[in-house]
Amino acid sequence: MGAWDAVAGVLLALLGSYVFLAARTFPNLAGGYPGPGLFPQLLGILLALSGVGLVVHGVLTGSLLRRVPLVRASRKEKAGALLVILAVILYILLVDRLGFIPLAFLILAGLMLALGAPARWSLALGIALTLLLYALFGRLLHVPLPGGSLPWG
Amino acid sequence: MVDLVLKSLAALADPGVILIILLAALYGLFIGTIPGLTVTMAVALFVPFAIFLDPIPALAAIITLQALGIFAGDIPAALVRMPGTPASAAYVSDSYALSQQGQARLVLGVDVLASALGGLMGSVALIAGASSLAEFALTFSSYEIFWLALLGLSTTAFIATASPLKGLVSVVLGLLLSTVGIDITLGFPRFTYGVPFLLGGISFIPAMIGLFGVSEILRTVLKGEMHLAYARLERGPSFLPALRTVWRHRVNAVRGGIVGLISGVLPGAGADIGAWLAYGVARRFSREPRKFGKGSMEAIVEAGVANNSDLAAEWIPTLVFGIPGDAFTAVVLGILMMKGMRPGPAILHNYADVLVAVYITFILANLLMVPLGFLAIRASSQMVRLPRNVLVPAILMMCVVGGYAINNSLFDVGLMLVMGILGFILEAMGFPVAPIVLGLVLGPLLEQNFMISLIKSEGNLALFFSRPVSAVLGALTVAVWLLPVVSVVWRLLRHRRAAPQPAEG
Repeated sequence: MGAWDAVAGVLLALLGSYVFLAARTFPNLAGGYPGPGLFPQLLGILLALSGVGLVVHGVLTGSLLRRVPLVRASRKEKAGALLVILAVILYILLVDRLGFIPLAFLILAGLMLALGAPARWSLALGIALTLLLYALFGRLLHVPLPGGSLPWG
Repeated sequence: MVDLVLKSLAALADPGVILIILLAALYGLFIGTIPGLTVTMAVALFVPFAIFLDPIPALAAIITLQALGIFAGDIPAALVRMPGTPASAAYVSDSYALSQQGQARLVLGVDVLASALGGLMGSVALIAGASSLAEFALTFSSYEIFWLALLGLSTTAFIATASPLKGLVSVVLGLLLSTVGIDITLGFPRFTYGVPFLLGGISFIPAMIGLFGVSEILRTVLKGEMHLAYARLERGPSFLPALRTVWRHRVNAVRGGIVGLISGVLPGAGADIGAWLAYGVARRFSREPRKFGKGSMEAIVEAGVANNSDLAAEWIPTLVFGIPGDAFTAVVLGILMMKGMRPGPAILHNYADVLVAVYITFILANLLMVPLGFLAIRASSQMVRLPRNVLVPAILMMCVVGGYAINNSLFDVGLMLVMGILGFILEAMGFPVAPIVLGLVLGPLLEQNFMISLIKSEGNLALFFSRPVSAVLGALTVAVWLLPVVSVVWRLLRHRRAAPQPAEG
């Protein structure tokens, strides 16, 4: 994976060291027995060593300087992936205010449109899938889906 | 025993349960047929429903969706040269090559029968293996459980991955995630940073939906709408020709079944590894090894049986030791725990009726596969063509609601998103995702038995090898750890000798 191995290696070494140091401050059991800190300390060491190992492996095989793109995709496809992430964030931020049904419809229809589905299909499937999800989770499984604080909620 | 079987049959014969099994079968066929959507994702999305169901219908549905999903993975392999699930990856080239020669219907028919046969072989092995192993497992102490958990994690990290080092990182990351929250020995909050939601630990279901669902969605979107070449599905009968073909290759079928069983019982090797192993074995013993990759029916039969016989065998270590062999059974383990059914040798006595129902469902699901499989072949061309831009938003909302449903918490939805992005980035960098889930699930078991053993032995590590079974398991684990070290050193030495100047490696 070329240069990304080095990036990952350094990050993992840092994370491992942090975990090790943080876990050293955890209390011990009475009588000198190791406590909650031992297991994470061992994991921290392993992680840090693996990180160093990735960098060393890259140096030894000479692949470290090869620049490889992490994601091969067109600009449009990358925008689609960002929209997917954004949709979940919007859901978390807005669902208590807007309520499940309007927001789920907006996200479903909006994402379909944005990913290139025809408008008529997006609207129809957005409504159908919202109602299906509501029936499945809200009614059948009794999940308390937020109703929202707006008048129609 | 007889009344147990009758009792379980009665529980399964309930119309509601039959409906659930049928729906699970269709769901498995659907997800398996769509390239890019894995059976592991299917079960992750099913968990919110499983929680609300009784143990028997929940497990019956999971078994059915898995069996049919792994078969359905063969469909796009034959039609569009893309495996529907990783388990079908080994023989994609062979399936597609034969389809292009106008044999798509025959290949798919053979896929159905090989899958059903493999599934039945696995079921028999599960029924025979679970009870005999459980007797043996009753003698296990914390040392053996510790080694077994470590062995399972180690094989996942080192054997079943392209890069052992990256596999190790994934396992350790999963274990690390399992340490978040109140610790069991002192009740000390670890890595919670004052966030109350984290005190109970990383919630397993949202994490899994993120790792397998959201990251899969991101990958699908980034691949764009695929322009696939379709092989035509010719008309004509398919059942009898397929049956004759499987019979002609019966030696391959039996051998594939056995290879699948072995990879299933081994912790850390899932159905995809089983299929690859069987493919290799088939080529080794074949009289026409040159045809492999270019349309070998032997390969399709042998690996097609193997990836389904693997499935039931995976349940043996999961039920008897509480050590799942792959990501799918890791999810099963999570569901069992949530239902209060602690896996281990005692599960065979405490939940005998549930287990008998599991056995029966395995057999039923694989018998059901034959008619449903042939029906699915008829609908397959349409299913493979379903547009991604409609599927992706639908599955995303399923993930969001599913992640929320377990604890009714938006924090879990956020956790799911973070794990999804993390899983996507890690996979893009070449780190496998399945070991993370295995680490997350097995972490508490491993740590608990490690600490108990350590305190029992007063820190004397030699005592970890003092009992005969623990010594064997310990030696095996050490061997698994040494294997990649030896091979890396060996490769580096050869690399040096072969190319004195820095080479593009």
